[in-house]
Amino acid sequence: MALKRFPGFIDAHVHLREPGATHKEDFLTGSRAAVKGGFTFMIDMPNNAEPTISLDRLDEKISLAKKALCDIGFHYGTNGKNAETFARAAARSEVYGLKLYCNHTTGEMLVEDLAMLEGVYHTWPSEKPILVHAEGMQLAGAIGLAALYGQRLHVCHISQKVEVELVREAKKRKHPITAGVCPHHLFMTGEARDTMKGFALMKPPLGTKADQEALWKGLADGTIDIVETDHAPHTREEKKSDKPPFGVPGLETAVSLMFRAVKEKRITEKCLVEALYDNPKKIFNVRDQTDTHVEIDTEAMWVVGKDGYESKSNWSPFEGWELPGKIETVVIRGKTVVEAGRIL
Amino acid sequence: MLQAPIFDPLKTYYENWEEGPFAGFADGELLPEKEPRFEFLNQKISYPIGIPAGPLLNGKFVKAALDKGWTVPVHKTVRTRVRESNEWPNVLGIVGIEGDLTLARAQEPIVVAQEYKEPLSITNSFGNPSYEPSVWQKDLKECVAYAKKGQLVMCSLEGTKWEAEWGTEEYVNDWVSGMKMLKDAGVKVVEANFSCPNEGVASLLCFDTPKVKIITTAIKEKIGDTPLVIKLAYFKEDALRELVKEVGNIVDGFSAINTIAAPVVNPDGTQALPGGEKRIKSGICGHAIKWAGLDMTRRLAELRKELGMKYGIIGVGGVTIPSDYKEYRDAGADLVMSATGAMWNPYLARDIKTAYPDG
Repeated sequence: MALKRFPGFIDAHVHLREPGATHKEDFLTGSRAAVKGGFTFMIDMPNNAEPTISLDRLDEKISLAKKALCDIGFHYGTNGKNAETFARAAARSEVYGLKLYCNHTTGEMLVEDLAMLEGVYHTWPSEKPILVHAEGMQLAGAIGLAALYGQRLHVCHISQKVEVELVREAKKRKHPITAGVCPHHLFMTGEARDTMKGFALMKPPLGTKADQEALWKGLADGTIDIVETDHAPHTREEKKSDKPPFGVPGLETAVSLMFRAVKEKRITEKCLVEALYDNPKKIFNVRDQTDTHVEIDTEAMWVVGKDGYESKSNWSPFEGWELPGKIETVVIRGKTVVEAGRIL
Repeated sequence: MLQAPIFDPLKTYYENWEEGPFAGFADGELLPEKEPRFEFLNQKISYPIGIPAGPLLNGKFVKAALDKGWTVPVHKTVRTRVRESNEWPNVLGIVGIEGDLTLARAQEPIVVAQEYKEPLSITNSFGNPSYEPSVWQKDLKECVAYAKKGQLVMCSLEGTKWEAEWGTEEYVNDWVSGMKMLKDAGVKVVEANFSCPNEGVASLLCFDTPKVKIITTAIKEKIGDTPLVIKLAYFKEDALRELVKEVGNIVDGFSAINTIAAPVVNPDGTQALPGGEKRIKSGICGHAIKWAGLDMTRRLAELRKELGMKYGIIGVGGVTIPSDYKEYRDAGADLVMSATGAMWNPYLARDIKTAYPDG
């Protein structure tokens, strides 16, 4: 056994579905999936059935999340019409950023109106970042507005070559911009849709081989700062349906997938730790979790199963993959929550 | 899979009372009950599963529940005088929401129809009707005698301000005298229904902590050692803490939750339930409120630990498949109950016992 100790990993982008869709996930099962996968802190997105775009909804979420096994923060949301709540939301210690949807995805939070977008960038207090879902050349507009209003911009789930190039150029020009990439965009391409059908559908969609190579290069050279799972659980039944919803679960496989990338020499172990801990901690100003760590057998191989997940979705797009890196121990603030790979 | 319901939504409350139960509760199959291995409020029970106040209209329904292995059936809420049922329809399927009925979603109209599908959620609106105490006392005595070793028959009661000029004292007395009637009928664990929405959804009794304290204190003085459970609605965080601090050492247990009230409409947008303003809103139960029952169960369990109290917890809300039962047990419920789930699957208790033989 080659046990190595790492800090508790941070996932800055998850959809834990509560309130509104607890048949897919709730804060307890989502947090169980997180610790099983080596994460001790995660930040939940606001696009619930009733989106987190008011202080009441935010308070409700904070209360419901108290059952979680690990620490959870929240990104506040906007529909372009709630700017008057920004200052008070941003002042909450539980809030880590503002999520802005510039493309269609799950939920009803798309902001397309340019005047509204301008208002969002103008009003959000700039000490916490704006996170954008902006695909392709939509991203250029987001970068422009962020630069105009001096906002820190975090580009979520970067997936296309052109997006990597835009972020690289913005960084060259010293714009305060960061980017995250999801394991499914790193390890899969659109060809997967032929065999996996609805199970390979997510937003942004899986890209081409060229996109995939650009993502790996961007992660290795520092253009892409973090790995974020975009854990977006849906049930098998929903994914098998005629109209499968977008999104795949990722909390229980992400860390091992990144150890696979280390093993394949796509990235270094230092890069892995930066992408899953140092950089998200810095970007979102995550407070120290004292006496918190994970122990991973980095050499041990395991096969992603067909069931037995902690997530209520109970499936993975990586079923059958053999991955290195078994999460053996997770300790959060001195309390052992995972021992010998099992949640206590 | 949904089966034919034990309560026929196409019939009135009174037709169901006279002719029911139906389907699986009338098929004559008697399921065995194992030796008592669990304990709830000092009562030895065979398994921590039951049916909450609601679907079991009278002794025939309670006996059928006992026959089908529902170890702890609760006779529907009764009153100390006759109260008529709301006009038919009383039960309708929820067709208008996907996922959970969150508190925000419950502010908007929800489409209902005589259509029942999985995951099952329904609305029910009866107005807590009651027969004369002599009727339900006779039923309860028979049911208590009918229960096998390890089974526990409970009954729920709601006190009523019968006369306009009544003050708090008379109202409290109605609760107390009703509870005494339950005890006299041989009921070993009684429930006070403090969360019935027909008394006004804006100000449920359970949210009035001082009044709950007065009533529960008076009841306990009268019924002595008979355990008292109180039925709660979904509480916000601080309000629950305040209630538990005040009455957690007076009552013996909490049952949570009741329904979540929401405006219900027909597919064409018109009011679904006849009866004017008082029936614009109706209680929603089943799968869509499971999140709320679980959340309350977890918080009650945490408060019990934090405050060093010993009350029992009955988890209710959206238990329609065996894994729902397990979620409630994991959340800290000492006893789990299913109403909507039991109505459309009378064999659910057997399925749960098979899936989780160790409880």
